[in-house]
Amino acid sequence: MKKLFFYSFFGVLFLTACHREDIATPGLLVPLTVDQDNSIPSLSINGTRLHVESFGNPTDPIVIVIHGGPGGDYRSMLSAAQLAYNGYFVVFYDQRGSGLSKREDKSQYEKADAVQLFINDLDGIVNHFKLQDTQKVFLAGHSWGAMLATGYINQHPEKISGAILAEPGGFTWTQTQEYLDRSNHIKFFSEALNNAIFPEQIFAGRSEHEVLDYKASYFGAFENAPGNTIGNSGPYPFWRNGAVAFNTLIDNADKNGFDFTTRLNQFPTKILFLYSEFNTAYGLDWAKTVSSPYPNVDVQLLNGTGHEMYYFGWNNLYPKALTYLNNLK
Amino acid sequence: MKIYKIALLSSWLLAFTNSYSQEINWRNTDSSSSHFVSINFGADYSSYYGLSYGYKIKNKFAPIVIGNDFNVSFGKQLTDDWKSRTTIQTELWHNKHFSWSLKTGFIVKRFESEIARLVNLGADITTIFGFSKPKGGIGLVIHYDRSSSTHIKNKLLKEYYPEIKDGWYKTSGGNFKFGIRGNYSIKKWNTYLNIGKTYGQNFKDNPTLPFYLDIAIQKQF
Repeated sequence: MKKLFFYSFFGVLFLTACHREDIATPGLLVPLTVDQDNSIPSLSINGTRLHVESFGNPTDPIVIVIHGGPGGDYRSMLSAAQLAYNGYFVVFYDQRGSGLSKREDKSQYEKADAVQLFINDLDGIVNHFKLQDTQKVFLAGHSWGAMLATGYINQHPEKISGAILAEPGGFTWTQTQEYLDRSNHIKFFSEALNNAIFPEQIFAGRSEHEVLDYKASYFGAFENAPGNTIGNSGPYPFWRNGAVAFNTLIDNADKNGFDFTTRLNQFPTKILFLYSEFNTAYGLDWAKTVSSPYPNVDVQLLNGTGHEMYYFGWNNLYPKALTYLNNLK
Repeated sequence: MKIYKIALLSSWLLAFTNSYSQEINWRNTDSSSSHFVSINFGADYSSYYGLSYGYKIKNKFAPIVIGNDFNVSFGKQLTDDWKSRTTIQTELWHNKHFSWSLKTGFIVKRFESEIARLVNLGADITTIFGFSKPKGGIGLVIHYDRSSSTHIKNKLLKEYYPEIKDGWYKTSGGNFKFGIRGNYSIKKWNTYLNIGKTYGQNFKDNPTLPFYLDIAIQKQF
């Protein structure tokens, strides 16, 4: 008994004495962002600092790649840089508060017009990289990125020469909710759900963005777990989950809604609209429903991949994207 | 070697003979019962099932029960996620129909997925005040648990971010729970229902599953 007490006492003493880090320390559990590490390529736009990279000749037609989320980053879409070898200037950026872009206060995403902030950021990217009036600008959006691309086209149809849209959930909040209900199918006793939410009891009640972003890494794995509805064959790389941007924008949409379709009839250019073979929550019917506000749309199935098609299905996506872009170049 | 085996056996028994909510109906304990064995299941952040064991220490001053709860999360991987809590509890005050009890515990949690492996040490305190009779009762529950240290061994995240730092981390937060406990007893058998709401300690960053539920069946002997 004495020995047990001795070892227990000194065990606890050892643990409290040994060096322990603070989980909120920048750079320990999530990568540094552009405002914390000046070596990361960045651009100051619309009152924030975005992580931005570009590939190719700046005078070529521009393809702006827009990642999903909200709160995701473009790391899993980097294959699209290949388009630079086909005569396109390819621009990637992490959206406000996401990926390696600067973190922003929650209050920015709580305002009724928070989505407009993201549309204005994209407008800032377009205006920054477009060097001549005749230079064409194409948008390549995935998931939420395809929704944002549509929100932009709805406001600035004259600035865009074409768009590749990959499985946007919907172009209105009502439509998006319907899709999310299908795609986030939850099995209550599953390993996948428990793996997503068990760590929340350990990382609990801390508001620092670094802590929230790290915790979101566990939750984010839910959509890639075996048997997932959206057909992802496994995890895909990312830099940082922008937890505050994601959670607050979802709450905002739930409160204020959005409608990106009000002026899409003024965009006569053909849209390439892609949906994936393995995403059982999507399918041809939903692709037709979502894309219907566009007057001119080419809906195509992408075989051999699920929702994360820029990562798992790039080999099939690339020729379709290139053919589409070359026809409008 | 013998001591090592005994320690190992004791640890194993401690781990597998107890439950998340080693509950006691203080009005239904008698001098002939010293052991409390329970099985339980529920949802508290994740869905789980568990076993528990409690032992009543007889003394002149106040009833004291020491015990251990052990929970395993549902899922295909049986032993990757679990929570063990070693507790000591007592009834601080009671009169004819009312009771006020206090329970404190030392908690060890383990979690593993493709993302990372976590080993978390912490402590908690629970107080229950309510109506209590030998046949059953109902009480208000207030609970707080706090993480003390967490060891993080990153897996997939290490591939994505090689500079990520593994090792021991200071407190990663805590939780408040507010709820109701109901219990019903027949002879040496007790059943318990715990239900309530969970908050992060700052009442801002609350869990995805904001409620907890625990159902336990207990035999005392």
